[in-house]
Amino acid sequence: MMRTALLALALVSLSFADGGPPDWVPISLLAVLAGLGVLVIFYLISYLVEAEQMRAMATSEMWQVFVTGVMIAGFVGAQALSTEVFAQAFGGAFGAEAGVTHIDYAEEVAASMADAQWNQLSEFMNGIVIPMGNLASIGGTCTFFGAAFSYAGCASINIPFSSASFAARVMSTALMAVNSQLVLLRLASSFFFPVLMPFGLFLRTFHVTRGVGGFLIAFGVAFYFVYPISILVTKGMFDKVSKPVPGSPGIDAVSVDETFNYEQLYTFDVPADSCDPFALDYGYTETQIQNLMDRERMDALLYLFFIGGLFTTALNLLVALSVVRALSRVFGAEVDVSALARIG
Amino acid sequence: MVCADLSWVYSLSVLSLGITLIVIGVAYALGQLLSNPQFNVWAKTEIFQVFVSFFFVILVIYLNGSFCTFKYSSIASLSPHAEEYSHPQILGDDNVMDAAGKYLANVAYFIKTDMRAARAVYGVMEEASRYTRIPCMPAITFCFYGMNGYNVRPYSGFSGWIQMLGFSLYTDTASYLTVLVQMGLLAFISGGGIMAYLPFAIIFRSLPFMRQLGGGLLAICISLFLIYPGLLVVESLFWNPYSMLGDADWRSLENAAEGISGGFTHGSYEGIVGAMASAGAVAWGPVGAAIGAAVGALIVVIIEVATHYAGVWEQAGLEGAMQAILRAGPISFLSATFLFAFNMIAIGASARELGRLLGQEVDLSRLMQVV
Repeated sequence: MMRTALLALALVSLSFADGGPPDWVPISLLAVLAGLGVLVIFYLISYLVEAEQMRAMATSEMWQVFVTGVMIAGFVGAQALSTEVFAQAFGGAFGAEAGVTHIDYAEEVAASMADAQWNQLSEFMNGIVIPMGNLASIGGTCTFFGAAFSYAGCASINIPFSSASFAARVMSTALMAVNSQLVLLRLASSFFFPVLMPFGLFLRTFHVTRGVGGFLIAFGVAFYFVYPISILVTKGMFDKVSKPVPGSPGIDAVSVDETFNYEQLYTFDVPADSCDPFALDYGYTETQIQNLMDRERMDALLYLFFIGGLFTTALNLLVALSVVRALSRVFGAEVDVSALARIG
Repeated sequence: MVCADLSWVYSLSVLSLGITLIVIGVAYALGQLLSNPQFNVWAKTEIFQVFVSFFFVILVIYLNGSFCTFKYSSIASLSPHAEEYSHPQILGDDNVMDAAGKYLANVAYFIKTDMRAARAVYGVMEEASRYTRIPCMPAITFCFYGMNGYNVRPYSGFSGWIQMLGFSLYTDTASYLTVLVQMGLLAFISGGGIMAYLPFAIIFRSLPFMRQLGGGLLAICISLFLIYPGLLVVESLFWNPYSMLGDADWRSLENAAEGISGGFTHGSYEGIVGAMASAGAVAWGPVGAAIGAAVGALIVVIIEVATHYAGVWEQAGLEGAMQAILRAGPISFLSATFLFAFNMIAIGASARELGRLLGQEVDLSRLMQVV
């Protein structure tokens, strides 16, 4: 019974989380009260067993509870500041509606970036990669009384096709990075800040668990305040350079149904002007290279996926993790976040 | 997963305590015998440290009991997601170790489903990309020229999707293995494996020049044993990958894996019949048109029979599945790898603080790098 009570005391900080997103302030206050309660018990025991050292430690730890209370007040102010001032300022600068918090707006920004990238990826695949692969696969066959030859006269289109496939793969990597950013933001708003931070405040009140407590607080704060703001800032930087993405070229591939079309009633012709395997014309490949390497489209795509997807995501994560490292020291923990940075 | 019986740790720890006390007693006796005050001072200092170590061992065994008697139902109401876990279901009677293990099993199930979806779409794309068409040319000859003409793989460009799926599968596999490693680590911890170091820690902490090693061992054992399962249970309350995917009924990825059916069209059947009828009409007039239409219908039947078992795929469905997979991949990665690294860093921070208390600076950064 006592053991369950002790464990329940440790988890009591989460008791306000029932129903909807938990409100971190009462959870944190309850965490501090729980920590205070435990220290009071220790203090009383120190009188019971006449342990001066224990009493001194309990008194010293009381100060840490006080410091934690000050931290909560600071976080309340910071959250209000970020919601009322930062969100207005950043939201106004980037076009958010009034009343939208910085983290909600950052989620919106990340989701719109993911949608934009998916649309471009889908268009790139359907407009360039798939038709180009279709053309590269065209071959010709001629048989006469058992003698035959076949010729893959369009196979050289595989050169731009391979590059296009690789580019699409890199684009998908960038898209996954943006999706990761979105998931991290949801984690920050639903888990890191409202759950882990109060848990960290509770753990921080005890000497033995001060390290892990400080780390959890730093993580919650960095990913709730700094990470979304970093996303908004990098999005603002991203939007400074306007690069409209032009549509895909109309590559004239062989459609699935075309091979049975009425127009082919009298002819052996390949129903794709972009490549005829019997024509032995290397110009087909050059046309497709030009289709792929269209300067305007490639610049815009590179900017959207490399800067908007990979670079800004890595930058945002690095900023947040640097703040985690610095804040951990402030809150009494020394951690090496290089493992997380490597994952990022 | 059941809570391990740690009475053997208790027995060994008592034995270690006894051995260490004997060693200290011998040192004290030697100090008296040789009138060497250094021995006496050392013995008096160490006897206190032995009991400090033993206190921590008792604390761990006591908290292990708390973890084992704890009921998940007492905190499940805090969670908006607890009832959604169904692979396997986290029961109200589950203790901390069981709940942590089942949470990891649910994450593993999510990633495995993601892998299944990616693998299924990968397979479909592979098949589709190799699908070759050799048209009947020219149509007016009723296909008498056989294989003459051109051939094409109309979905050959799907290999672009395949490359993406390969990357996604690679990420998912790494994530899945990471979760399996975590399950193994949890089993090792909850099975009491890591507790085997505790008796050694008691002895080492009291031996000359070995205080740091003993303190470090004790700090690592306690941090791993207490913090890791606790963090997993807290994560299970507020972090559910299916909710993050926006799929509380756990179906969208399975649909992506199983629901891709239907078909690539093997050509417009009306087009085939129409082309043959036109060819017949050119050759023999209305009668020829009828014959051509019949030939066309025969071709359609042959195609139907030949491709009956091939399955048919909808390109639009495949794209939807791709989008779901590209969204699920990061969730798998963050659930498995990012949170694992986060947990390990938290454990490292705890071990460092505890190690300081026990007289040793514990640096788990190497372990983090291995992770």
